[in-house]
Amino acid sequence: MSKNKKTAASETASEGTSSGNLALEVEGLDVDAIMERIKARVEERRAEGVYRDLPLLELEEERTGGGEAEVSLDPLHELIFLIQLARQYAEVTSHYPIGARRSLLGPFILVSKKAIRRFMTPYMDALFAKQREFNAQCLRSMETFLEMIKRERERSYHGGLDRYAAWVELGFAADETEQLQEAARRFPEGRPIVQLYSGTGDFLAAAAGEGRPAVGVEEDPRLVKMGQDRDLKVVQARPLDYLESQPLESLQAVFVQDLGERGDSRELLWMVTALADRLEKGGMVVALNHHPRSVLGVEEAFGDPTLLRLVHPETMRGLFERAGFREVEMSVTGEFAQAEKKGWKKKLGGVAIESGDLAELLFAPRRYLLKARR
Amino acid sequence: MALSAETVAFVPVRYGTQVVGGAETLTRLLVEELDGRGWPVEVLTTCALDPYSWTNHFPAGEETVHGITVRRFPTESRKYTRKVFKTETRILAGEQVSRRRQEFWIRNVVTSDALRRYLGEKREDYRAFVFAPYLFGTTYQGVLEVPEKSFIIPCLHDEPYAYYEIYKKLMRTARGLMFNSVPEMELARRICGEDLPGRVVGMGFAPYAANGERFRFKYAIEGDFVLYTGRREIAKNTPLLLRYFCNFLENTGREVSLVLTGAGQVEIPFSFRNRVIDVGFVDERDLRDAYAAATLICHPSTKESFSIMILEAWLAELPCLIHGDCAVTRHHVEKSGGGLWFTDYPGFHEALSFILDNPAVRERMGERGRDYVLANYSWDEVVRNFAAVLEEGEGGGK
Repeated sequence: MSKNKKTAASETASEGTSSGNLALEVEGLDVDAIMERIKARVEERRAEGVYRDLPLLELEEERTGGGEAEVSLDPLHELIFLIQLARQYAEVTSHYPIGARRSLLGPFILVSKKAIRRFMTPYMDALFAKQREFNAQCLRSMETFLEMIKRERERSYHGGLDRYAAWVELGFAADETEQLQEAARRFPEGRPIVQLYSGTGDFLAAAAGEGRPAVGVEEDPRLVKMGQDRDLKVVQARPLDYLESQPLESLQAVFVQDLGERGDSRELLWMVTALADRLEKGGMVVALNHHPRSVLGVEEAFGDPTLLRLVHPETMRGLFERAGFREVEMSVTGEFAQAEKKGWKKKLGGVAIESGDLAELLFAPRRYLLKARR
Repeated sequence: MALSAETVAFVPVRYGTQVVGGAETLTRLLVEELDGRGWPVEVLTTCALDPYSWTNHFPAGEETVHGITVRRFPTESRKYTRKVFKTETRILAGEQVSRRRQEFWIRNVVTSDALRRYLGEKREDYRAFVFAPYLFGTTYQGVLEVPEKSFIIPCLHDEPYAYYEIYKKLMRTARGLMFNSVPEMELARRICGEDLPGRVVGMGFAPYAANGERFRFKYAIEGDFVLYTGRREIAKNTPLLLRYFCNFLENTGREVSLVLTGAGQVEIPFSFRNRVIDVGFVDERDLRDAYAAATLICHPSTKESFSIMILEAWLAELPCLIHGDCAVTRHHVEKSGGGLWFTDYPGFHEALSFILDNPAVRERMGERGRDYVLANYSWDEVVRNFAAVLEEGEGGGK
């Protein structure tokens, strides 16, 4: 053992953690000492039968009872597994092992089997050659498909700057409680609200405070957990998949924040169409988006690196109307408070911008609210 | 590139960025490093990619890989006859095999007559020929063809082949041996004699940037996972890892996955396919990202001469779990404190549980591993030792 190791490992007060495993202090980390403790632990527990080590076939048999195991797994992993399985079976050949039970006739049967195989081989090989070619083509198609998926996934990687990182780790989440409360009040009481991309759960909390409980749909498991830790109802799903899975004309009220401002721009068109299909007659959508008119509001908004674009309110209105929404109303919200204006004035070097056209432009309300009804 | 009598030719059995294998990777990285430092280098290799069939995959002739001239020669189409199979079975069982039978066997383990002829014809055009690894026919043929200029990166394991007369003769014929680690050099000297020429060269490592999140996103992997990378085969103990890991899941009910990368078939039990994910061959960037994403790396092989993946993983501060019967990886772990080892299932069970349960210890082990690699495996040291072996061999007057 090297001489540079620190002092021998010292155990913590308890023999084990809650999971019943060894726990050691980090500062006194000594691998030899850990190994000694592991050996001692193995000796202690060996008699308890916790170290069952079955051959894989036996283990599989025990788990499945000879049937097929129901396992839930990611579609990508399923594809990877199936390709791997296909590789094992793609190569077909007539040269399988031949045997015969041990008896007096055994050797004779074995020779006969071999003779039959030799006789049949030219015919079988002709057939197997086609089968092999077909299998190889199928396998190649599956592998190409897998490569395409991997490439797409790689390209759509957010580079570590996803909403969780931006809002929770980097602290770009703005406090918009007032605007969210205002958005919640646009929904009539008693209607079940669904929020797509519920994020940290701020709207769900604001809506609950306004007596309008809502269910969130969020794809990022970390954000889902944050919401659930706040006792909010959050379902983990990709919002687009969630919408698609709902029956036609089944939803009553939907809220979306920053609609079309993150992710692929094509998603916006698809989302509006899907909302039109899934909302019942008279059902409503409320969207809270950044207003491009507010120069300083835009400056603030783009501090969040996951915000990719703004959608002009008139563009949004057009999209909803074309999708078949009957009533589309627009309003603004998120005015700058006096203290905020003072802060900006200081930041801009004391320019006189309290009033006038310039102030109106700079301090225009940050958000617009769209309310559309089917 | 024009040849000069100063050119050092490397002769690995396979070569290319998509080749999976320790000796091949080590050779490629050493060649690239020497090239980057202005050494005239070239690669003479076969057209093979698959280490099982040895069929000609790459076209024969000259090509450039990362700016280095690579000349490829076709392998011989040899039948894996019953006689070869029987001989190999006897060798692996540790039985005595006659010298003649050994010669017969080596002639059937990937050879290239075109490569051998080229070496003979062009011997004067090169300063030295560095063969890797010791086991294959290309090395055996080549060293006997140009003994006066031959050096070997043996990548020697403690395996039955290593004790055969043909290999002892091979080792003693070469001008010098370039070992990857102290335990490997000690093994070679135990087998072939203490006066065996050569020294530890190994390969160098430099810190790299990696993004574990990107790997997780690309391959849809969540939660803790154990990483295995390299060839998946009996010789590397991959089936043992699979068995131990599946039993561990069954015995503990823990939600941890095993992610396998590399080449070779692996038979994952159907009911564990959600916990054992085989992502196959990955490029260098994905591999480094995998190191950054994993919770620990497990390397169950008992036959290693260096274990690049453990050292690379340590650069990403990843703790390791290795087989205690492997002298080389055990040497690395004992020297560094960068991981734990097991020799049976109970040991695996407890060691894995320990690493999973103690994130702070994991972190500390990873740091120690990283410090060990940076302190012991710098390219400057490797190139210095490489040059020293060449000079000693050339001046040896053997």
